Amino acid sequence: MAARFLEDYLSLNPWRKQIILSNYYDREMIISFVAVDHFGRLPKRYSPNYFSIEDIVLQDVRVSCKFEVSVPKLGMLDQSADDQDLKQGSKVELPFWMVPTLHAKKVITFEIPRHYKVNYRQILQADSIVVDLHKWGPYFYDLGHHVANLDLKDSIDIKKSLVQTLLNRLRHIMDMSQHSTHHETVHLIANLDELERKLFAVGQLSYRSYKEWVRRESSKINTAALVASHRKRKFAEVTV
Amino acid sequence: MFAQKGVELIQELERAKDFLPPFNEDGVRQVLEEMRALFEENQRDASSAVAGESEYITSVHIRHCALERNKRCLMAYLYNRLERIKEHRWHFGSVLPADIKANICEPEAQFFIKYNKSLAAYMKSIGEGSYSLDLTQNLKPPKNLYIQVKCITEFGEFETEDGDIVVLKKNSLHLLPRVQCELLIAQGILEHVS
Amino acid sequence: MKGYCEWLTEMYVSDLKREFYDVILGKRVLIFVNFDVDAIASCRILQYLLLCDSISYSIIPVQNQNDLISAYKESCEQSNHIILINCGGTLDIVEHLEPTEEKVFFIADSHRPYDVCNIYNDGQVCLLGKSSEKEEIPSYEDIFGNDDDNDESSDHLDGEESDEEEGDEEEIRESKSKRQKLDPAEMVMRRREKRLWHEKRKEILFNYMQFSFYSSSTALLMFELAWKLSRDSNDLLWWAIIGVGEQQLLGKVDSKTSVLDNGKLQSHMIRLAHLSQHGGDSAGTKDALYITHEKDLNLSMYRHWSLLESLKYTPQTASHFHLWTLKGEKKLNEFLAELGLPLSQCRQKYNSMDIELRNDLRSIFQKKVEKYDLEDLIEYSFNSQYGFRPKNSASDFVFALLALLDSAEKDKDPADAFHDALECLSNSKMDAVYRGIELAKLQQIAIGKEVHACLDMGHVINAGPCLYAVIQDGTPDAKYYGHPHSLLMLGQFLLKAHISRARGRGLRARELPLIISAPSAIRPSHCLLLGLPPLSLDSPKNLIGKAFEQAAENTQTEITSVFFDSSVIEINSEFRSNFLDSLFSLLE
Repeated sequence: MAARFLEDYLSLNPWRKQIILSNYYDREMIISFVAVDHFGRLPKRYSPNYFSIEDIVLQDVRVSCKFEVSVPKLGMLDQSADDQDLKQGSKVELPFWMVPTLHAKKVITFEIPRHYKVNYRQILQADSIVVDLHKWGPYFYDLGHHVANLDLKDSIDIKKSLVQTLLNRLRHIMDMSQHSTHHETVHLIANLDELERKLFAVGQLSYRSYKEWVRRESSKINTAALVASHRKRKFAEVTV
Repeated sequence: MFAQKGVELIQELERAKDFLPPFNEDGVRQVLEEMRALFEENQRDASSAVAGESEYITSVHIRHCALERNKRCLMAYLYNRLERIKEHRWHFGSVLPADIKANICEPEAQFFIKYNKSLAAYMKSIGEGSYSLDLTQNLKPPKNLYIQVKCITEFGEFETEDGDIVVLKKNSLHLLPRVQCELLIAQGILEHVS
Repeated sequence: MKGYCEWLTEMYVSDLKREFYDVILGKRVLIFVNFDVDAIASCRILQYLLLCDSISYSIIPVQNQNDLISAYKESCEQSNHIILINCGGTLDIVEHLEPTEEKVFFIADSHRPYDVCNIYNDGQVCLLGKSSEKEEIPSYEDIFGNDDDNDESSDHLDGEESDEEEGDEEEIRESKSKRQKLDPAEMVMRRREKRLWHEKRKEILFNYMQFSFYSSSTALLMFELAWKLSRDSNDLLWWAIIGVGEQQLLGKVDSKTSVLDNGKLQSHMIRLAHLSQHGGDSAGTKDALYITHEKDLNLSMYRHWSLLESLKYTPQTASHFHLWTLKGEKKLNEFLAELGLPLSQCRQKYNSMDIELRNDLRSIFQKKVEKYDLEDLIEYSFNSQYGFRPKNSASDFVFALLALLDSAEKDKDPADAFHDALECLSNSKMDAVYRGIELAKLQQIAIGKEVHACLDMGHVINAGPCLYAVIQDGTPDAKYYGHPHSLLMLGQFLLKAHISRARGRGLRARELPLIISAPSAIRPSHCLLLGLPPLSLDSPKNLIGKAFEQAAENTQTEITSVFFDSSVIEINSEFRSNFLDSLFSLLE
């Protein structure tokens, strides 16, 4: 019980979160890269966890696959054909969550989403900072991680490129989060994908906390966050 | 496509980042329906595969994948809602406002009551003797015994633990002991001015 | 029967520490604060003292008498010790608030004259401060009479005022029986004496209450309490300076009192400066508040404005140069040229002026003020500097606070405005002050323009016994002066400007008071009426308050807001002309 509470309490602390999150990805990506070499698969510890909302949502992305065997009774997967059965060789857009099992069972061959292909990797290598990762996929790193775990011939390269991109962009993100004002934020984070946005938000929060401490307002008790947003919503409803 | 409804449930939670949307009983039921349909088809195909027709095995695998996906969506939906309800206890106190209560379903309400009980039991156990340590207070280290507060919503009479009555009129300033007003500040009735 | 002086000193609490502060230690207090800058400054000092000793308090801002009465009724169960700051001195507390036996009131009010019932109250009402000679408080015997004169007919007349004669049935019966043994001739004599005594009493009370004026600032009183408790500091002194500064800026006190007050403040300032020097950590005090007392230009907010605008909207210079005419503006330009200040520099914001000009500004002006008869342009003033931030003068703060207090409108709660103003006096929150200064600039511009308009269109009319000016509803910017203090500033500016224009026969206008009316910013269908004493008298003693009361009675107009300063009232606009007519006939 106590351990649970301690965990909860610690999770309230934004600095811990930042350190965990930023070290996490660096370390984990590097470890996973090494692990693939040595063990051939991803260590079990890798998160996002089973319950993570983002992970579920991002795996809904469609990838184009080609069925190597015919699958009876599942013609509905292919919207263009009217068959009851799926013919061998038919090209279908499948959601990503289906892909790992089917790929392992050699039922399908699929095409890597185009943002992880060679030419895009070369773009990232040339200059990662100016790339609009939000357009490339709001969950670029996470999806890339899943893709790379599928034992493709490109896996190692994809992993290397992901790690390198994050390392290059991280400096820029940290700089922006510590030195931007409220108004510029929307423009600055337009180019970042979701993981980077989380890092940015944590950086901003720590900066604001520091400023509050300097102004000696850190001991000021505030209205609870949920209560404040609850009130705002009620007020908006009443006025609208 | 399979598991669409499940993803919709999750997206509902994602959109409402800081409040609890009403419990989507319909959605949950639909996902369970889908799961049941998939399971039955799989039963049929699996039995026929066992019987010898091996071509159905791939379909079984695909449907199993979809089943797992649906299960994951449902579990995540329930789990995240429970996490938010736990957070509500720390922000709103042990009594939730009526419009939030309307959004939680019966089992979740039971969970909330039990969570409150566990929290109270824990707080009592780490206090000394009959004194229970209130963990929801003093989340920031306190600097002084008495704090200045301004009343931002009309509240009326408030009785402190010593029996003193304070009339909380809108826009009146008070100097009160910290322990008495922390709950009111968290609820947005008073505002801490330095 | 106790002596006159002993009675008085008992009702006035002059040893603030022993008889006021030690009494409230450990108890909860309820504080009612009026809506003016002096009250806010005193409130802030008191808050600091109470916080140091962890005395729980509740502060409720009140704007007028009705507010006070209703707020008291709602909150009176909270505590038995009630402090009234700049409110309640002039009204009979016991009668209006009907408190129970155990409540004790401490009144720190700079409004005078105090109600006689408050002065002679036996312990329930304590007046903080000292009584002074010039208040001419009537003696106890003159008002409440002797026990022996307890006659039936006079019973109901003075029974309600005096606490001694509580309708003691026994005594009456005794004296009646005693009297029955007297001659009828003696009884007639007694009754005549009685009548004469009552008439004399009425006259004394009338003379006492007819002039309303202000005495020394409450903030200074609170600061001296802090000094006795050894809790004074530069911050508290600065707040006291702001309180005193408001009285001087709005002309509420005469020059003698302000000189005395300034002297006291200066001595405190020097003492505190010495203390911090000898304290040793001179390096550490770079963050603290520095207060200086030096010769400075007496222009409104000139550090936050351009020099030209500041000259244009300060009442003294505007009236002197007649800046509402083209000729006046030319004269001003000549003046500036003679001083050696280029016009382009004067048009820029003060902070962007040439630095050499800025540093020498005072001496530049000093050279020419005699020639132009503008001696009161250079005066001593208190300036403060917080660390390395720019200097501010006390009058800047006063303007900012006044503007914030008067920012209440139809949609904005007056109490919100009160809290905005109170926020300015926190230790280092300068953005609230700057916001106030911006508002104050708009306010001064609106006032200046209105004066200009009034003079152009001849709105100031000589009604015989007084001057009057009515500002109609629907004037743009009326919200800037629809409040008591801003209306006072407008009135003073208008009077000065009007008098400065007068020639020949018009010079008689110097001896006439001014009545000015403007639409109220908070209640749209009502208007505020303010009376100013004539310029020729040096003292700000004002008899308009009593005249207002009398006129209201005569015309049966309901005064919707009875402010604590009796020279301002609020009535419904429909009754205004009727009211003014009756007022003029009274003043003749």
